[in-house]
Amino acid sequence: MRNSRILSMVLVFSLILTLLVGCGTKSGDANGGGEDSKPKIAYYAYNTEPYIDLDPSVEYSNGIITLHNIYETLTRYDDETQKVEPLLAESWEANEDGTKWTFKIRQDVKFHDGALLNAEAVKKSIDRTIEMNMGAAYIWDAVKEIKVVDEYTLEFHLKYSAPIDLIASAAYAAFIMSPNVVDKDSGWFNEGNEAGTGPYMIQKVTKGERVILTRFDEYWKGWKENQYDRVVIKKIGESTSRRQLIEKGDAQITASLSTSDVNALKENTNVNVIEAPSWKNVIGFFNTEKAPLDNEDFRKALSYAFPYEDVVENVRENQALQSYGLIPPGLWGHDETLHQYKFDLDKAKEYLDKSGVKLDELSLILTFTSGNEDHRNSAQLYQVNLRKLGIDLDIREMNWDNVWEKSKSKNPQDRQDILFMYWWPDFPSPISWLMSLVHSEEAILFNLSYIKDEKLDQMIKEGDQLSATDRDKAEELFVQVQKEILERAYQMPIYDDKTVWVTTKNFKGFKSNPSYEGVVFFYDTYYEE
Amino acid sequence: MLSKLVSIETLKPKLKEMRFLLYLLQKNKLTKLALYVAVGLFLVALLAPFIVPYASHIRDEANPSNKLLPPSKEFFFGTDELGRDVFSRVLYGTRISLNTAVLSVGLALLIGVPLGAIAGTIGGWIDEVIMRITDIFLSFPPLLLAIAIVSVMGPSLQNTMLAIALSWWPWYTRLVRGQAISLKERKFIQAAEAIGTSSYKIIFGHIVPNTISPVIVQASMDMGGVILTIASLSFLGLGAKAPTPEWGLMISTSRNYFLNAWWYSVFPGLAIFVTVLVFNLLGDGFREILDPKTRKN
Amino acid sequence: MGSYIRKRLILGLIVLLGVVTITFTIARVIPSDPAAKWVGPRATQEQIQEARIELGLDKPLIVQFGVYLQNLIKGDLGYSLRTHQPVSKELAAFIPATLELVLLSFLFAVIIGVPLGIYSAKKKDRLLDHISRLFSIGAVSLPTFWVALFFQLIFYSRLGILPLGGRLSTEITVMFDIPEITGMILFDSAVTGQWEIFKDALMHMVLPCITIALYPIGLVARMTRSALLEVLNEDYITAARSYGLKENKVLWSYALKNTLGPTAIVLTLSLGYTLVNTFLVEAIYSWPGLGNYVATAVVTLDYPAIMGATIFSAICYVTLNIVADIIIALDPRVRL
Repeated sequence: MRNSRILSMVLVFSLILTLLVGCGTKSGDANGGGEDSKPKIAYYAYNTEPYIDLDPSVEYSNGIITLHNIYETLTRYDDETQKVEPLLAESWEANEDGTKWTFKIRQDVKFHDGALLNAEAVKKSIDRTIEMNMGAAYIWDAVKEIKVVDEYTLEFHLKYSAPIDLIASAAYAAFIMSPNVVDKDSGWFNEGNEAGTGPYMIQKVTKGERVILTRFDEYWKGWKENQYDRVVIKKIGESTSRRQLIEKGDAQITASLSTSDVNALKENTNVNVIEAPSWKNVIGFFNTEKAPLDNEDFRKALSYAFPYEDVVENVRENQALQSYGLIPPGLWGHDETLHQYKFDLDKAKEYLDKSGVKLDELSLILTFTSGNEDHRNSAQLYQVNLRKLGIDLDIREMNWDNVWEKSKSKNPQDRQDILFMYWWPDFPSPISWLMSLVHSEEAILFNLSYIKDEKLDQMIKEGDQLSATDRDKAEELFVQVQKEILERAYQMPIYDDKTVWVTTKNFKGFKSNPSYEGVVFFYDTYYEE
Repeated sequence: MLSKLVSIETLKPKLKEMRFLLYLLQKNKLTKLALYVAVGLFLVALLAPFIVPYASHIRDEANPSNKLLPPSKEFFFGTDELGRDVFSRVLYGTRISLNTAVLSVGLALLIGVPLGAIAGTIGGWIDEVIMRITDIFLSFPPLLLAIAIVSVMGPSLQNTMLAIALSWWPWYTRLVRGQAISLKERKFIQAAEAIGTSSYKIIFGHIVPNTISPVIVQASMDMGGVILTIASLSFLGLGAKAPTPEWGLMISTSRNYFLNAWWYSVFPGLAIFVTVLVFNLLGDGFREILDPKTRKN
Repeated sequence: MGSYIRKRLILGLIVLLGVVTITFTIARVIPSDPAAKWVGPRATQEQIQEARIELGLDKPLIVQFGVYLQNLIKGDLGYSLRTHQPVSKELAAFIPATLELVLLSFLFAVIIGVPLGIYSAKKKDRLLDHISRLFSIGAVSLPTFWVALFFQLIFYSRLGILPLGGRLSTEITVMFDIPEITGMILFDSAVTGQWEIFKDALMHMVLPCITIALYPIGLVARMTRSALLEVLNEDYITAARSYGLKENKVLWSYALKNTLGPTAIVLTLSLGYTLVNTFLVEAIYSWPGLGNYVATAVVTLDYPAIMGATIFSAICYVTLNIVADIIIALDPRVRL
């Protein structure tokens, strides 16, 4: 009888043992590069879902990391040359005032469903996006009509001048799809169907978890040896998990690691750590409609009290640079002659005295989106320094919806005092920052400093028009706008982030492109021992 | 919670029995140890601002240049991502956790006890309605109701307390109702009724005071569960906010560093474990001596 | 008996109605505008107004509640504000992964918890009982999310014997056509005889399952112990003993049988905790289940998704409670 007890124990332990031993025989090389029979797989460990919506006209989120490998755009922005390069369009030109653009479309390009690319297909795709009016469709706002001139020539007629070459290179809402699928609704796309011209086709999608892509043999650029046959993009939420996957060589590429994980990986000789510019920057928005932040000197005091260096060096571990104005490096409109506020508590005190603001029990509310480690740490360091000035900082880490809702409260007194937010453009132009964050708004959207400055509005409008015809002139105006913003301390540009990619050593050909946030163009990459 | 699954109506100690209870508790060595540790934890919580080595590291100071240092003589538990002493923050966390837990349970008692007393004493349809409402609240998987409440109200420690109280009160209502029903049959209550005492006076003057001891026992048994719930909510980003040194929040933050700085996750986790364990051991000890079925042995 | 069951079922329905009401109320306290979220940040006032009408948010609350109930009966939980997909469809996609995890954890709970409880009861108040007591109470005192992190650190990072997370390894997902019958990979691959997938899926389940099973293991061990002790004091056991039956015979043939009921009930009731633990650890293990879904919904304030998941879990929980109650009613020996 005693045996039966022992037996049950033995059973339990043997089960556990079987499990453990079974795992010990884990197959070794996961990326399967060596043998010819096995397809070469590139695995991208991504920090969140690989897509929200698979409809190329709709997706306005991370999904571009998947879509840019399936679909292509007319043009693509190159951040090194700061120029727009041809992709599905071979060439283009604009009329004098930038209201009519003519595009020549590439020939012999095939969609995944066998249809051929022509001007009609491009028109139908963009018309679909405009008509659905979802996601980032607003970027085509200037378009009055798209005309097909001949099989491979297309004309954009505009309501007002706009840089269609830049817009056509947008990260969102600029994808070209097969004419056979433009009538399908979003549901069809979300079942895992697609018909783009890109190098990869969908093999399988699992919502919220992973995407498996397989190569499109008839891709117009052709295939070389050692390019990847399959691409897996998988959500791995934890930074440490992504780090471990890349350390073990299970994943080929990953990003968005915590600073300490990046530091540790820099010591690892088996991986490449690539620090590339990104167009994401962090901006502090002062509520210029609420006392005491309606006081310019007080805002300057706040600007001098922010520990820029500490944040860049210690919070971001130098994976960022202190901003010059609002526009990040690598994008036209960035200018390093602009004034940088430096951390200087004496100066802050000086401006504080000058402002005449009474500090008794003054508590400022700072809001930002919850879960953001960098904002949280920056906020805590800011809090420590403001306390030295006698100002209490009430840190409110909230859901983005709640942050935004608060910022739009009817009564300016109910809104936050300071707000930290990331900004990045939908298409490569500084206008994204200036129009959205600085230009006055009737209904509050993203001008979260509530700036109402007619002079600035005028300059921004003018620059916007010029960006289609005379980009140098436009740039000049945009720099002027930024200078004014800093002088009035409306906003506090904090730092321009870098994107840090980590790849395995044998993952070659990768180039980061800040205008397509998080996107890996897998066609450019290849395997090499 | 373990405690919920055992018939609670069998617990009928009176206040004067408390001393005897403590004596019984001490007979089990493990429970005795837990009792001492629990008292110690409350002391730490009370004195935290005075005994932590770096009081300014709770919210007034940050030294990013000292960040993520391993444990040393200077910093027993190492430092966090802003160069703050983890030992001081973990110690101070006792205060946050116990304070939040006591307040949450207190709030739950405030809702649960009167409702239970009313239901048990008055009976009839009022009883029926109150008990059905407790049924409804108890049909949410634990924590889930709290998650739903906090996520829509916006995360903060206050809302966490409220959410926990809102999902915990029905247990006390049930307990007190049972007590009230049996008390109702006792002579002194019937005498009070006979001389025309108002039911308000009967409920709050006689019934409630007489249910206090089992309620206190039950509440102390619940502490472990509540502390774990608070930490879990904070871990999900639905509780305390930086720079509050709350254990769950510290672990959540440490996730980004835990491969390089194990101490940052280990110590707050141990603190949760030890605290919850101590209260659960106490609860288990209580149950053991109060449950007549096992008492026989 | 039949009337009791009928009464219990009607009561269950009333409770469910209450659950829906509370969930609906909570969702309407929501400070942000669901319509604005639906159309996205760049929308105009007109678009928001249109969305409000489309989502039925312009109607009085009571009407909205009626519509919600009506749809609920049809299994329609509304649309996620984040993904614009039907919540019921999304839940259906995520539930099998969680279910698989929960079921396997329960298996662990039984095969580890029951023997531990028996052992403990036999050696009551001896050192081994204390250790077992400490273990089972310790198991329910551990913060699961913390345990999950450390299992990863030890078994993946240090020892390298178990995968980090996810349901399958990348290679398997690419090389094989994963069968989809129930959505529970372990079951599906076993039925179709694809043992390579089965093995891979099983390995991926070990860490999450043990993490989640800790709580029910502790619970089951404690319950088995106390139920067993109680039974051992019953007259018929004493009688059996006095007839000179061997202690082990008494334990295994008479006593244990009688503890199965309470243990089963504890197990069903601990499902609530198990479910909640999946919320805490699924994100850590990159497990694409209900918990991960809820965690994302909470962060993005996707209230139809939060409501849907809450109602679904509550329905499961209520149903299990009813089942447990009926078991109690049917089996007079079982008293909890």
